[in-house]
Amino acid sequence: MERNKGKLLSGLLALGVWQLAAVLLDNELLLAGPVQVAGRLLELMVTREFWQAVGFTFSRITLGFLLAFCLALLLAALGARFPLARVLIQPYMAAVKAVPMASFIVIALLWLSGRRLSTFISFLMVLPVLYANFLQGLREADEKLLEMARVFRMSLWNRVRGIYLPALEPYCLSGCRSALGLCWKAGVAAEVIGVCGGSVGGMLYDAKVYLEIRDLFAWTLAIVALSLGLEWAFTRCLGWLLKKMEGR
Amino acid sequence: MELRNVSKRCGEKQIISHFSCTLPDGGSLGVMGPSGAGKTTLLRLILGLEKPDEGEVVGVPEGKSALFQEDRLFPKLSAVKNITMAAPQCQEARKLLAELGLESCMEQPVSTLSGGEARRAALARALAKAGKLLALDEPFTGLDEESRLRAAAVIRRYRRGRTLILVSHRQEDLALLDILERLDLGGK
Repeated sequence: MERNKGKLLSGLLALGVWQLAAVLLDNELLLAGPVQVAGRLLELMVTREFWQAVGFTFSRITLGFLLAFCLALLLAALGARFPLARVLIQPYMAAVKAVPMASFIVIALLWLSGRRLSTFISFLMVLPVLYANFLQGLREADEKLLEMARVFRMSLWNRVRGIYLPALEPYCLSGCRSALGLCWKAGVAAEVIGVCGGSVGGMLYDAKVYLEIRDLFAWTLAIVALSLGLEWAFTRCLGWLLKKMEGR
Repeated sequence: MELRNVSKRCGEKQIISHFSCTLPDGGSLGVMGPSGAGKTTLLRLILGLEKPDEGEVVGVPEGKSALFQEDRLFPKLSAVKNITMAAPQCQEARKLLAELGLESCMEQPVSTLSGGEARRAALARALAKAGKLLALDEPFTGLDEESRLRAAAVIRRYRRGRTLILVSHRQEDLALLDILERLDLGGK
């Protein structure tokens, strides 16, 4: 309760600082205040274009994330089971982590249409994050429980739900939290650079071209809300699913 | 089951040296000795969790169940679920737990149980698993006298003709389980 109160107060204080900065600067071409931005966001939210853009970007980024989630889980399982697989996978993950996101976006633009770009970029950016977390979790599986499972000849499914899932859970949830924020940043950046019409990134690009600062801030606010909303919903669903699978 | 000239080293320390013994099917053996004498290592060799440096272990029955030195339970699951995960065919998990005095706490996560209760839950799991070999490593650790006698009675009842290997440092434990064959490790 106290923690929530502290969060609320700090949030309100940050909004106050933002509003004060906007009043002091008094230049709508440089900085729009929170009241103006909220008002513009509400105006946008009653338009069909807003929801079409949100739906377009949301579906593509979520698809990229889910594809990365599945592949990272598969690769981490291989890496945890076979040390050679871990060694072979490592250079790819290191390359994806080291190469700047903008380079990937420009390269991918040569291969893919702008409409598919956000899926590919969000997939690529979160893959190493999820892989590293999943691998760490699987390698933390309790050796003593694994020995017990060997002696009792437990089925693979019972080993997974009794030993691997509980070990994976904290890493999986924290990895997903980091990855979901990252995939929105990467996906929208790809849409902006790829000038993808009808997407959230495309709207941001238009706002920048026409110097619509209130639109720029309103779309940014929408992106933050969508990212946080997806993170909240996904991690809760995943936590619930893991709990059910573990039989708790 | 036979251990032929088995040796096992752990780092620089020789734990077991040129050890041989035979145990008939359905027989029982009490392994005694002070701490560090190699009792648990011997059990691990029999269970196939370690390979001997020399010699061989042959004729170990296929179906095995064990109570390890540590409880090795799934901490977030109840005692009943711990049993059904390891021994899905077991129909009498609740009865077994009740006989071990865990009727009031068998549905709560084992992480919330006391040391003695968790030990009995782990013992119940070992007894619930059908098989031909039952290996118990210090089964009465953390149990008071009454629980010890009760647990011994349940082990005798649920052993069901299985080959039994008991590791203990207490002479009385062997008598409690009617074990006549005794193996001393570490001299004395």
